[in-house]
Amino acid sequence: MRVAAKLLEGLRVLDVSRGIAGNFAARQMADLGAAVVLVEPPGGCPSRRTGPFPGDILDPEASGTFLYLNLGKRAVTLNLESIPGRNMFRQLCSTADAVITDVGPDEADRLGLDLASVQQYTPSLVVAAVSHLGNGGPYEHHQSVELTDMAMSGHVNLLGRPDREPVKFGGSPGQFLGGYAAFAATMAGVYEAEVSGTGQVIDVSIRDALALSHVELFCRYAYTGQMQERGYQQLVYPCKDGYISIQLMFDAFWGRICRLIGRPELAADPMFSTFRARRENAELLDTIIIQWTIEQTQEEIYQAAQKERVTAGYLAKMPDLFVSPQLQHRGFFQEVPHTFAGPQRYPGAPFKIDDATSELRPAPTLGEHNVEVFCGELGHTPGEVESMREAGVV
Amino acid sequence: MADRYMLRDIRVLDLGMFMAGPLTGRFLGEMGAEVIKVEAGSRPDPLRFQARDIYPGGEPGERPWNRSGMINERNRSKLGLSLDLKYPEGREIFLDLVRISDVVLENFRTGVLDSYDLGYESLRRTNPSIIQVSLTSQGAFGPEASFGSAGATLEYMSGLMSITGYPGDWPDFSGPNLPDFLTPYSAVGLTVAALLYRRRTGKGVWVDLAQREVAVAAIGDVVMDYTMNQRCQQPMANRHATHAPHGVFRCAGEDRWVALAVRDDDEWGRLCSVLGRQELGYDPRFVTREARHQNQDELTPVIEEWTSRRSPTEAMEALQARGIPAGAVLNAGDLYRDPHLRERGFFDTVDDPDGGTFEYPGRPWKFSHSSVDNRSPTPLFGEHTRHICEDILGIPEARLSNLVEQGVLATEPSVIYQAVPTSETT
Repeated sequence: MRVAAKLLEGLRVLDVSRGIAGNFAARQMADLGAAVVLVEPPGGCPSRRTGPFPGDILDPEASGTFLYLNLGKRAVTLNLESIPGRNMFRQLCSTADAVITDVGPDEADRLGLDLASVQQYTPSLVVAAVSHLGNGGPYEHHQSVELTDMAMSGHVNLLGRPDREPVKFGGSPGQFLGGYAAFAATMAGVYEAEVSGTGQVIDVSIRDALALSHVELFCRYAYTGQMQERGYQQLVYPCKDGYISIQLMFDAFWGRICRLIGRPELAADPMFSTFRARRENAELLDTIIIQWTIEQTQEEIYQAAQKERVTAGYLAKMPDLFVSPQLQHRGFFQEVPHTFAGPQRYPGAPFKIDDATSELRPAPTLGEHNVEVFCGELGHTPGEVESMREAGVV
Repeated sequence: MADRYMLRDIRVLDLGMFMAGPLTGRFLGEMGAEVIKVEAGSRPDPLRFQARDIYPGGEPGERPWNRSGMINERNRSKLGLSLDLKYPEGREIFLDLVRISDVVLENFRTGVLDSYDLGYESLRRTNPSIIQVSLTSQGAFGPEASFGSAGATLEYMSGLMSITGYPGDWPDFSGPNLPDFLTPYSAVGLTVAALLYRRRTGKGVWVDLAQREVAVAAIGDVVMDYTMNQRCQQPMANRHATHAPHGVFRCAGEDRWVALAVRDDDEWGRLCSVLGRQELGYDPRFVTREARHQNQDELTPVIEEWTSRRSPTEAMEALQARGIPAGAVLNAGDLYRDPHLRERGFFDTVDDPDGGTFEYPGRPWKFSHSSVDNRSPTPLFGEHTRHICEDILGIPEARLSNLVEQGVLATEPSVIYQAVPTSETT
């Protein structure tokens, strides 16, 4: 596998995040070759304790979430509650191009990451402040989690069955979406700093990123006054070993589905050839399609559908991802060693640069790079770092 | 203070269609890039037709392709060029634009640009420092490179729907096609990273983004449980692996809900006091996190006894006043009225010449020193064709009318798709 050009080689980024979004944004930059230093409290990031852990045995050095979010970063520990810790942090900032943080406005003030301090002391520094609800506004001090972000952005209301309680997506994709958004915003800020030397403070809201992720919801309401209903259904059918989702966007494509299921004569059948007719005869149509799908495996249907240019996908479960010939060909999952977690296969960067792959490097252990960064790069002596360690600063 | 656009000197040729590509272009346009949306008369952006009946007042009007809410939301801050790449002259004009552009953005099925002889190698021969950003379903290489997808099928193919929904049920429903929105953010970041790289090295690159991989990466923590323990996490509705209570609870009114989460014993104690049920704080069924998780079914009626007498917002405010994570389950009307989004200026008011004036959701970022905003309404189909050809490319008037006659340039789409009004029901 060829190793991709490092688009961000030489860029220095500090990651002062405790949650998924900030960590994931900085991970994107690490994947592109930036030198990212994760600044953790002496006890480590909370994600070191959330797992999953190999064998379900709690080990702050082997949390799957932490390791995944922090591949390719170096890590230092700093007690940012202490004055020497904050002084050290400011020193780190003076060597950085960008800081990604989710510490909140009060803590940002103390760390010199507020707008006034950045303008005064580090005018070319880009600070991306990631939060759930953004700065200002009546809900600024609300407590948020993935579930409330999804609720407050309109996603929960849409997802689920109309006769049951609405649900969120599984996992924490909202936080990852916020992370991608923070990555985008940070890159724009870094570009401006490169061109003009002007740094700035960027406010990135995870809830806002989620809220705009609904073209249809807003447009339908604004244009027609109608509310989109929950349980927005797809053509999803059971098959031999799972479920298959089929998209039909234009009546003109209906004939492709008919060819796919071996019933080309249905293409012109007035019972099915228009949207309205298919809706009226939905039960019969389902029966016809399921008769075909139930005899095939998800992989067979997926391959056959794509050959007919029918947009289809199966309900992939975790093992399906790892055996996908396409993901294998792309080398999407990469095995990376780790001192405590052992070799594990991680989802890699979702892109290629000039047909080459970003190389994943291990996530850091707690404080692994204290000496390298504090001594090697900030010029402190090992003795100084040792006494800071004794004082609980690092 | 905010005085300049960050991408003020950048020109982007946006061949994007549907969702992910066009939203990427919109974000770049709002940051100041000159984004040219390129559509052929014979191949207009299908969202101009797949409008799902979202027309102003429900009326398609004479030119429905300029009135679709789906198109007008996501092609703002762009110029519109109608240019058919399948004609040799169309291709030449496109390459003339490539010569003076920085980025070509596209989300065609893999192979389509090659079929016009406009793959990355061709673009690079024309402009060695061009950046191409391809947002394909499966990536540009591999046995399934030419496979297509939609946001909804990517929810399935990424594994996201395998962990979504009710326990023991199968999810034949979908939400808002989340993968369509993960990709643009990633793509904007990568585009700007490529611009930075080119600025430093003089080299253009080809960014090949696979939308399925973007979505898998967004459940990376769940994937790690399979990697480490061969465990396939299962749908658990709104529940959390360790926190409880954690869910949505019925409020006053029809189908109204509030979400709340209790992460630790302190929050539990405060919730008991908000509910007026302090005694539950000492109840052994709920006193530890493990016990609450075990017995959370019993908490639902207790919480709903309180929430069902309140609106979602009242319940949220009361819970938040005591520092408990809570959020009203908002619908479209609620979102438009949301005081927090209002005060933060989330919405853009846009006046489309053929569509009318509407409010659209904005963007998730604010920059202290740079302008980022809606710069213009979505172009009418081919609105700026003449401006681009005459003023930017210097094509003489006589040749221009010739090109229009041949169909290389168009003033209206030459095909009209009969769209399915909404995703079909089973």
